[in-house]
This record gives sequence, C-alpha cells and structure tokens, in this order.
Amino acid sequence: MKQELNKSLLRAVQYHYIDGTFEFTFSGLCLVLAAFFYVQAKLPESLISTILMWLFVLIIPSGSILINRLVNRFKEKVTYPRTGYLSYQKPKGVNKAVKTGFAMGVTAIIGGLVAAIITGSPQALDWMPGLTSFVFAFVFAWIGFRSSLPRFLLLGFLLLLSGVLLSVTGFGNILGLSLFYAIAGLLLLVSGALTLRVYLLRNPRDVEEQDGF
Amino acid sequence: MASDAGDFSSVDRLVHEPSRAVILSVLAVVESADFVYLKRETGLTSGNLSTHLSKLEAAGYVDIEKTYRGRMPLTLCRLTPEGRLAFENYRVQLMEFVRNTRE
Repeated sequence: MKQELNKSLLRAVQYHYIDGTFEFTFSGLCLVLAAFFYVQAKLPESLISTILMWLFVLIIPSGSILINRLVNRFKEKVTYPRTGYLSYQKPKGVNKAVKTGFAMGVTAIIGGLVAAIITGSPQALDWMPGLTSFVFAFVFAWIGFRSSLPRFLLLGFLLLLSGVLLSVTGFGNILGLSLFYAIAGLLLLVSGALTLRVYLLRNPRDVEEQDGF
Repeated sequence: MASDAGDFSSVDRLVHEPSRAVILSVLAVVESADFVYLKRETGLTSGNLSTHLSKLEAAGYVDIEKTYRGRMPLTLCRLTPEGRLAFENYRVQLMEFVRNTRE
C-alpha cells in the first residue's frame, strides 16, 4: 500500500510536467535574461542598458507573474479539459519553514561562492556561464530525480555542457551569459514543444474526457 | 493467526474495496483533484467513479464541490480529515496484517 501511495505521489508530481508548460515558463525567463545580458554586453554604456539595469529587479518577478498567468490560461484551455485538474498540497508549519530555509541557504551558499570566486580572481568572471550552468544542472537533476523523468536529467547535462563549453572557449562573462541563457531558452523551448506534442498526441481533443459526476 | 485475522476483520469496509482504496490513495497525496483526473488515474468508468465517490462522500471521507470552469461542469474532490484518518488507519492495519502473516 505504501508502494501504491508512493506511486500516486510520483504520478501527481509527474502530472505537473506532463504538458511541457514548465519548460515553456523556464524558457521564457531564460530568453528574457539572454536579451538583458546581450544589451549589457553590446551596449554597456547606453541609456537602454542603464534603464534595464535599474529594471533588473523587476524583470524576474514581473516576468514570472506574466508567464504564470499565460501558463494557467493555457492549462485551463488545453490540459484540464483533457486530463483533469489537480491542486497540490502546500507545505505547512515546520515543513514549510524547512523548505524555505533550505532554499535560502542554498541561494546564500551559491551567492557567497560566486562572490568569493569573483573577488579572489576577476578572471573567474569568465567562468560565469559555467557556474550558472552548474546551478541549472543541479536544479534540473533534482527535478529529474524527484519526478523520475529522464528528460530533465538530459536537459541538466546539456545545460552544464553548454555552460562549460562557453567558458572554456573564452566567451566573456556578460556575452557568455547571454549566449548561455539563449541556449538554455532554446533547449527548454524544444523540450517543451516535444513534450506538448507527445501530450497532445496521447490525449487528442476528440476523446476529451468529460466530467460525468 | 486467528487473532491476526480477527484484528484485520475490524478493517473499515468502506475503504477496503479496491476502487475506493485507489481513489483515496490518489486523493491522499494531493490537495484536491477533479473528476476527470480521478477517472484517468483510477481507470474507472464515469458511472463507477460516481458511485464510489458518492459512497465516500456519504461517509464523510470525501468532500465534493460541484462548480463550473467557464461553461464546463467541474467536480472537485478532496479528502476530509476523517477520510485521511480512515485511510491512514486502513494502511496501518493492512501493513500490520501483512507483517503478522509473513511466512
């Protein structure tokens, strides 16, 4: 029975990634960041660069809200009518505090490490794509193991490879970052599109499930 | 052995039915799920699923909210605290039974 319950939990986790919208969300953010760093690299002293720099703190949260809304809209139109709606249990009490603390701790450690490396050696900035790809690979590997979906392990590996290759081939920090985010955005876009295609083929509209209660 | 069987005979018969146990196992790991998701996960027909959900609702194990998404009817199901407890007790009893009857 425990096994059955674990299977139910795993299937509920996998359901979150069933239609590729997770990759589209991540891809959108990566492409916005790619554009941001490209402007920083190509027009470092320009007005647009300064404005974008000041707006940077707004880019991630506003982009996330916008993309979240689009994803919800998409799921309401495409996913829920085909394979159903599911809401996940939110962590409560100690569990929530532990998860928040863990996320903050990991962020602080990564931030501290990056700051220490850059302060110790300015040339280390050239390794920013590599370091960023390492964080991405860690996140995708975690998602892959948690959901038992191998495509995330492959994505993590490809992102790590592209980040390290960009660093080794000597792309400067900002342009390298821009290229890394562009590659990440495109890879995720392709993965999301393939996942969505498979999902739509397996759950065609003409056999759309109906609420028959 | 007789006493093990005796303990197990006190199992909640409402939960101790394969289809209902599967429904509860799906609902136990989520906040709520709609009828379409439950149907897909359990592999039951609409009629069967409706019947089992009605029984679970009548026992106070499942809370059913009937609403609309746009113009489409939406049936949202969630486990009540009583349902969660009943399912947890059932799991404990089942595991106990298996452990005690191991060769």
